[in-house]
Parts: sequence; structure tokens; C-alpha cells
Amino acid sequence: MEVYLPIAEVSLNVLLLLGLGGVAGMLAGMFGVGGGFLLTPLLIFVGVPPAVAVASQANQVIATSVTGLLNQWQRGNVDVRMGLVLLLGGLLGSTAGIQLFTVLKRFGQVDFVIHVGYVLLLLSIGSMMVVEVWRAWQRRRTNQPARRKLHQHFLVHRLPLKLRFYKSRLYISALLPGGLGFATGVLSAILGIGGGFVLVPAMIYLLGMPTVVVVGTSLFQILFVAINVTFLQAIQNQTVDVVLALILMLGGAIGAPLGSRIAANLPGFQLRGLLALLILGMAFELMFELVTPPSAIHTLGEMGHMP
Amino acid sequence: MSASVLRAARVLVVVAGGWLVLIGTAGACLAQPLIVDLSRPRVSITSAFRGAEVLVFGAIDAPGDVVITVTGGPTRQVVLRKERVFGLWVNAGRQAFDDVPSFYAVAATRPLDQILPPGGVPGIPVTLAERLESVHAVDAQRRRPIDLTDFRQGLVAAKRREGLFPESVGTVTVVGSRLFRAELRFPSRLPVGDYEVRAYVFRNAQVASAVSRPLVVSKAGFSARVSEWSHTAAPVYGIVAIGMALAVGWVAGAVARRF
Repeated sequence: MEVYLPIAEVSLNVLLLLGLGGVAGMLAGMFGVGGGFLLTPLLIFVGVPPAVAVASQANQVIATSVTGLLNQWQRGNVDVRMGLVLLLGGLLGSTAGIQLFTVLKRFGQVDFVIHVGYVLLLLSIGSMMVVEVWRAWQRRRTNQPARRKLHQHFLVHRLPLKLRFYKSRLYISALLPGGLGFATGVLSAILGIGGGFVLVPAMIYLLGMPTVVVVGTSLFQILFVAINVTFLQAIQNQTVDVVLALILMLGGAIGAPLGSRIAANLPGFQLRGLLALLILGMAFELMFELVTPPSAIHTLGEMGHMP
Repeated sequence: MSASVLRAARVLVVVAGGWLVLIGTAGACLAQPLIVDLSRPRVSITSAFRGAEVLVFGAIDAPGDVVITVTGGPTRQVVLRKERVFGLWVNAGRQAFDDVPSFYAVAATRPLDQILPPGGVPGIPVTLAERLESVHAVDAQRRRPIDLTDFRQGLVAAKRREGLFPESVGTVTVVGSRLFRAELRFPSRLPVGDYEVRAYVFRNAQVASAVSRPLVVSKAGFSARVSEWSHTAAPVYGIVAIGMALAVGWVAGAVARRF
């Protein structure tokens, strides 16, 4: 069954779109990532123009993150204070990122920088996670209790603006999550992704937040970023396709609760291991695309009116 | 008195003139060497659009070859080229071309090389290659000619893959050497705009007559309203899109908790 998408201006199979939305929803439910890093390339692959794919996917992320967030909220797994600090940093970061993008564009080869940067990012996050998960698994197997240092005193702990994050059981400088949010914002502006898959590992490993709280808090941040992106895309570029977004959302509505149910029955390190594999898989796929000669050298870009 | 006579004379002249014009057009109608019409003047892209077929039919006054061309509006089209940068394939080159038809298809009664004079008819592009002669690169002086040729070939290949420059020439069937018909197929990924269907009659490798018919390709119904609304009321559209997403997410969460 095909449906014509009015903004994307292509006809696509409804079941295919529902399936894609379902997979994105499952990722959101399991890991608290938006799923954009997987969904956007897939949408482009099936023929949606890149600008429409990015914008409509942001619209879809609103729905999945609301579903996931409500679920996590009821279990008391959302650190609102942490979420707000991350969000503030994220908003500043995305504004700075757009400026950086313009500068990169002026130097040319922006596509190369983005592609290689993206692959390196995915590779480093993925492999760091694999190492950590491997260690956690070893500890579990040998029944060694995890090394727990409640009070590590790094230089970062001397930073000003210390805040208590009760849910996360942390007493750290607000500059830390703020800076993390900022970095994610810069990335999302340049790469056109929500940044959840960067944020989630960083919250676990850099901030030291408990895995349980991470998903809910990340969804909290993602929700507001997605609302912001959807609105800006709608008024600046008119690239939000509500029909496409609605079909993806309906798929996500099925996938998200499924994802949270799976996540609830899996130990934390297995969940992190799965996410690590997913990120690494994506990195290898992108790397493969970069090194193999493409089937078609030329593709069509924008089509517009003649001046 | 003289005034009424003058008025009567003027009326007479007007009536007589009218008759003359009428007789003239009737004569022209009968003598028209080529009549063409489309089964529908508009291709409507609705939510269920999966491509369309339009029938072109007409009559010719004497035996000859019929060639039909379908052209989408002229556009500025950007072509991206993957290049090897430090051993990696990335979209590194882009080149814009002006006067690229958004769609171009040809149908004919016989293979074109048997109908057209060698080298084509001056001033009348028929084949895709002839139509594309007027396509020109934007900022052409910034590139080497060999690069431009490469981009130009890439443009045609990419358009072909999308089904917008069909490679095969469609068939025009002639009945009783007077009536002709041709089925035009349009792909599902059809750009909107004002198209033009042209019919030519060829005799002895020369254009005997030509007629043009407009064909409008536009979004219709729900799709048209959504697309129009996204432009005319962008902020409201954005807020509704967000509201819809919040509502769907909320309901989905509530339903999932029930089970």
C-alpha cells in the first residue's frame, strides 16, 4: 500500500514506513536515544529528500520521547534538574553549531569533515562502551564487586556552580552537564541528529549517572530539542512532512513500549552492550560506504525555479 | 436622417464582417492538418498517487509520421558528484544546470532516426539529446570543459534512474492513417508544474504541422492542502505538527500501560 507524502513529494509503502518508525521507537524505549542516527539515513535511502527526512524525523521523535518519558516518569527515573541543565547547554550549543557549520561551508569539503567526523565519533563511543561492558561482564562472571568510589576528586570537582542532582546521586558542577549538553548541541546542528546516542554514553561514563536515570533524563532533553528543531524547520524551510511523521509515529507507538519492556528485563550492562554493538555496526556501515566505490557517481541535488 | 442611414449601414457592415470571420474559421477548422487532445488536462497527485497514464489522441489530414514530446517546466537542477578525497568517497562536487526540463519523454510512430532528418530539425528539439542542447551550466567558467561534460552526463543518468527521462521512445499507434493515439506513462516521483505535450506531423523528414497542449501536474485534495498550508501558515503548521506528535505520544503511552 503506497501513500503520497505531500512535502517529501514521493510515494512510499506505508508498511515500510511503519516498520522504520517501529524500529526507531524500540531504540527510544530501550536506550533513550531518539533513533535519528539510524532512521534519517534509512529514510534518505528509501527516497525521502535529506532535508525532509531530518525535519520529519525530529517531529516523529517528539511522539516517541513523550511515550518513553511518561513511562520513565511514572517509575521516577527522570532527573529534571539534570535534564534542564543539559537542555540549556544544548540550546546554546546548537546555536553555536549552526555558526560553525557556516564557517566550515566557506572552507569547502564540509561533506568530508562531517562524514569522517561522524564515523570517528561513532567508532570511539562504540569501542569505549564495548570495553566497559566487557569489564563489567568479567566482574560479574568472577563475582567481584564493582569498584565503587563515591568520592573521586578530579580537577572537575573543583569547578564552580556545584549543584546537587538528587535523582542521579551526584554533587557536581553544573558546568559539566551544561558543557556536555553544549557539545551535543554543536554536534546535532552539524550532523543533523538528535545526539541521544552521544548523550547517553556520556551521561553514564563522563557524569557517572546511574543507567536507570539516564534513559528518562535523556528523553526529557531530547523531547525539548526535537520540539525546537521541528518548529524551526517548519518556519524556515517548510520541510516537516506531517504525513510521513504521523506514519513513523504510529510505528513508534508500537515499538517504544516494546523497547521499554525489553529494557526492563535486561541487566544494565547487557543493555549498554547492545547499544554499543548498534553504534559500532552503524560506524562500520558508514565506513564501508566511504571506502567502496559508489554504484552511481552522480546524484540529483535540489531542483528549483530558474532565476 | 443621415444619422439613421449611417447607423444602418454600420450594422450591415458588422454583420457581414462577422459572417466572413465565421466562414473563415470554419474553413480553417476543416483544413486543420493536425488536431490533438488529451484524455485529461491535469494530472492530480493525491495521497494515493502511484504514477499516471494520460492518453494523447488526435487526427491528421494526410498520412504521415506522428511524434509526440512531453516536457516538464524548465528548472535549475543541482547535480552532486562523489569524488575520492584522501581515499574516501564523499559528495565533493556540485554543479547547477539551468533550463533542465523536469521531465522529458518522446513517443513516435516509427524509430526516430527513420522520421527525423539527419542532424534534426533546426529550432525544433525532438529527441532528448536535442532538447538538452539548450541546458547550460551555472558559472560554467569556473570548471574545465571536461568536468562539465562529466556533470552533464551524470545529470542525464541520474534523471534516467528516477524515470524522469525515459530512455525508450513510446509508441504512437495510427488507425486508418488518419487517427492516432499514444499512452503517456508518468512515474510516481513526478515533479509538479506546467507540462507541455507537443505533437508533430513529419512528412519526408520535414515538419508538416505542429500543435501544443498544456498539461498541468499538481497536487490535489489533502496533499495539496497540506503542502499549501506548510507554506502559507508555517508557524501554525509547525505548532500543529508538534501538537499532533505530543498527542500521539501521550495516547500511545496511555494505551501501552493498559496492556
